Amino acid sequence: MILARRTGQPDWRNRLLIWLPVITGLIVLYLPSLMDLFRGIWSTDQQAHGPIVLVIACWLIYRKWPEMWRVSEGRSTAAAVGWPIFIFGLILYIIGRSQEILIFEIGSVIWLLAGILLLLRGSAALKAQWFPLFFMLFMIPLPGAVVDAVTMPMKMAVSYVAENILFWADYPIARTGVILQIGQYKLLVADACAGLHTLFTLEALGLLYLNIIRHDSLVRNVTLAILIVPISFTANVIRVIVLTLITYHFGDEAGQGFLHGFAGMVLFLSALLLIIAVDSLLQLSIGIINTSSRTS
Amino acid sequence: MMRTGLLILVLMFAAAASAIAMKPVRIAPDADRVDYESLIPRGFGTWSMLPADVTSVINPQQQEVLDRIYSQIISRAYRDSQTGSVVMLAIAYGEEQSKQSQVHFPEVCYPAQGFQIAKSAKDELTIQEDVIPVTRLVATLDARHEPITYWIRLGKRVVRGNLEQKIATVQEGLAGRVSDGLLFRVSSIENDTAKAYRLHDRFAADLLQAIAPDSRRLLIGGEVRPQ
Repeated sequence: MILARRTGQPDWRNRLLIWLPVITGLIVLYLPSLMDLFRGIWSTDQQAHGPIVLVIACWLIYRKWPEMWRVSEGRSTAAAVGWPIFIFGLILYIIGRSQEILIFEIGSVIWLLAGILLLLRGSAALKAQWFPLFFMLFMIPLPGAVVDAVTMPMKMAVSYVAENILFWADYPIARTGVILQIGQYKLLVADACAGLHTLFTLEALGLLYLNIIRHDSLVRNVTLAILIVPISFTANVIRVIVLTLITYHFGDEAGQGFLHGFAGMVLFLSALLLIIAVDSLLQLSIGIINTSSRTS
Repeated sequence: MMRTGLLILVLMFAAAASAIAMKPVRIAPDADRVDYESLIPRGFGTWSMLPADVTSVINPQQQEVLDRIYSQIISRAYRDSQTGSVVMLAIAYGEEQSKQSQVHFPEVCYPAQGFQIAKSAKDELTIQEDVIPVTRLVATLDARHEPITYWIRLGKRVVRGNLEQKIATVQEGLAGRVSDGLLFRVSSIENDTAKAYRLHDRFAADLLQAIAPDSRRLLIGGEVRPQ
């Protein structure tokens, strides 16, 4: 006990001395960026998943920290690769921060962290922390040009499918562009219903789920990650249909009132159920393939 | 190890400082503020301005966005005495082109009001010695078929498309400048798209020729040539 404390104390102080400059530097660089994000884009509906991703990424790094420390102990650091990556991150930051290019400004943190890990703990540490750093990609706000280009076609597709399903179910529905007309009500399918934001949130949550569950099968991981795209689309169609039906049966006030929030919950519930269902199906089919290949 | 840590810290401080130092500052002084409302004549050539349309619906949310982005907005309709055709002219001017307050593309504004963009093409408009890169759109809403011709000036040049706009903003920004921006949009309700575009071209040419060369630069960019 006494022995452990004696060796433990200077080691702990040493660690802090190494990481204190890094933490200070990160705060100086990114605290203003975070404040801008919270005041700006992260307070909007479309990018509300940003802070969640940030918190989860920090938690993932924290969770991996002891393991990272263990595997990188006594290994040599990788200064030759670390410095270029670190400097590149800084250049990205300078350009992004001064010219308001968010994808550079926020994206730079991934390069910086990767560079710092290489410089201070070596490549084994970076390997241990790859997932949290990759996960941070979801935190980077999408450039406006991409959002504008993708949102409209997605909205169109969602309204088109919703219209056809309701029409097939004998509802008096018509569509002009992204405006749905049901009975005497006219509903404008909003940007949020395009599902870009939902897609990102679900993809992030899905990857997190896969990382924590630790499926052994790579096929299952990759397939599920890809299938989240159509799943989020389906969930959005379900949300638009639910909202349309609420408006039709209970009136405009219900559709815009508390039931609007309820439709949001329907969205995530249906997405979650779909993900679990698809995952079980995948597990089942992989199991069948495995047993048949074993018997043959 | 300690040395590496300190070097990292010093470099990060330097990056934070240079990011602040490289932030562009707006230099456009309020003294030479241009009043676009009086710059654009109410009648020229065969064109005469129609009385303002008072029936337009006011959308408060939209108005708020417009006020934030643009410092001057002109919205007029002109009738051609030769053919009787009517064109709608919209000029939106923003003093400061930054991320939060840049000129919006009609490709975004029209769909936001329920229109569908049926067609989009790049074109060039030659007026005397000036070649203006323009975009041609067709917006539709129910039976309304509205061909649109527009260009966007950013600082001294005309940009086409979101990416060009961003690149121009960043280029100006890296040089330490914040430039102004202007959207020039002509449209008409007309089923014959090609005919509408010819009308737009003639309208734009007549308008640009009716105003002084210096003022023309405010609409289509370029250097002010010494007289």
